[in-house]
Amino acid sequence: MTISNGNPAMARTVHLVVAGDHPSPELLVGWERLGVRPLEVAAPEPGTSAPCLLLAPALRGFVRAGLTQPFHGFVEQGRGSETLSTNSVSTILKGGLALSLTTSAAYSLDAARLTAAAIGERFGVASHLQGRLELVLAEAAANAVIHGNLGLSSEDRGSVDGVAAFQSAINERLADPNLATRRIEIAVLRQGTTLTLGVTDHGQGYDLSRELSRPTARTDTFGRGLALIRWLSKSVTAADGGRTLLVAFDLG
Amino acid sequence: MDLNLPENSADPVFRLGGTLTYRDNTEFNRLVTRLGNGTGTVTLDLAALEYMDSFGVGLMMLVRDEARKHGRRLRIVNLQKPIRELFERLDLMAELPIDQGTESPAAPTIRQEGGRLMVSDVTETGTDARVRLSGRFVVADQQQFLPVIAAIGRRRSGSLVIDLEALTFMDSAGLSMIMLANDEARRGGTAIAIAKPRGAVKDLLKLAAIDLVIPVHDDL
Repeated sequence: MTISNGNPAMARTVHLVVAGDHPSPELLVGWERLGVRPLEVAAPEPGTSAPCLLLAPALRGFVRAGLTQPFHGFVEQGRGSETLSTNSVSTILKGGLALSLTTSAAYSLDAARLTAAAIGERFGVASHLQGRLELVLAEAAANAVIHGNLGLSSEDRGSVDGVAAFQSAINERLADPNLATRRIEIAVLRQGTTLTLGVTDHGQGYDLSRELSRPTARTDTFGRGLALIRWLSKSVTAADGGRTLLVAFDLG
Repeated sequence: MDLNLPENSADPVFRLGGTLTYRDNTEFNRLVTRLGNGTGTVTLDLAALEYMDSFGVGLMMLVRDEARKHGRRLRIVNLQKPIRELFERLDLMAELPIDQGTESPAAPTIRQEGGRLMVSDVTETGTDARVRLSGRFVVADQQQFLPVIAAIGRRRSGSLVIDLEALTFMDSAGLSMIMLANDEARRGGTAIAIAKPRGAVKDLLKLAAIDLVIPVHDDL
């Protein structure tokens, strides 16, 4: 299957390699709208110059494979919307990397760790920056899962009972198929010494400026996630009504 | 593969020898099906296992998942060098419940494995106590730390050292749980200290200036 970004002026296309069940005709139509063409082979065609995406069940080995050369991304197959945003397709066409997982897979597979390792390998992140990159991704992905797709606030976590209740709420919402199959997308592009990370959820969105303006005291028990991202990155902005967090990370 | 299946035991020890490869699926499944019988700790002793292929690694992951499904604690012990190197290359040392085998007999035992975070029992020496964390501490693991906070809540004096030497990664959710432990300790009159943070964990503690709230020691 070949995917394009829907822009007729964009000559290049993306190939979609299907490792699991054959996609439904409806899904294929959706991919075609994105300009993606299915290859229907189990591996990238030898010599193909187009970037390849892997569509497969969310097993750790498949995700790792999809994020590693010769692939440029992974889309979880089998549950929820098995597709990518046009932004992610564009990112791939520019030489970047994209990942689309359901909320439950992103939570259980530790998507940030897999993605950070793949970024380090693909884009040559210096070893002293790798931990910081992983922390930025972990915070952004956790926000997208917990506060975005699962719609949970962390305000009541400041006690042992609060944490236990918070965990119960996570488990309850992950058991709700409508919430568990919402997608998390991570798109990564290196331009010069800047790595741009886009983490998108399908929650209600939030006011980033308001969240960033909240002071973080050293003695606070919870609520450091966004502050850490801000401290570790060149810039943090929001798009799509606060559903996409865009982080510029300096590799220099 | 040579597989020694013990008679029914509350805490069975399965001894594997020879090589574990794709040819051993059927034999290995005999072990996996035994996980549904009982509730005690299951130990996989790999002392005599010389080689494992990627399929064997998959079988290890399978036994981990099955143990978790049946609510059983799993320990993998006595890794020989080639197996250890394979697990290290595949970044599985924190994924699998591997007993590192470097502790003294009195060292804390690992309570929760299979997930990313491993939390030792809280060991007491007089009025002082110590708990060791290893693996990764992220939002999905916070519930595993609650027993430590509960143990802190039962103390009324002395000190507790949280040893992070073997913790490879922590995010703000993990940090928050340590701050919560500190809140609980202060209420009960216990002094908390953090010992031996390394790498990315040490960076995080510095970045969040945790040493202004909790003493952090490179060696303690």
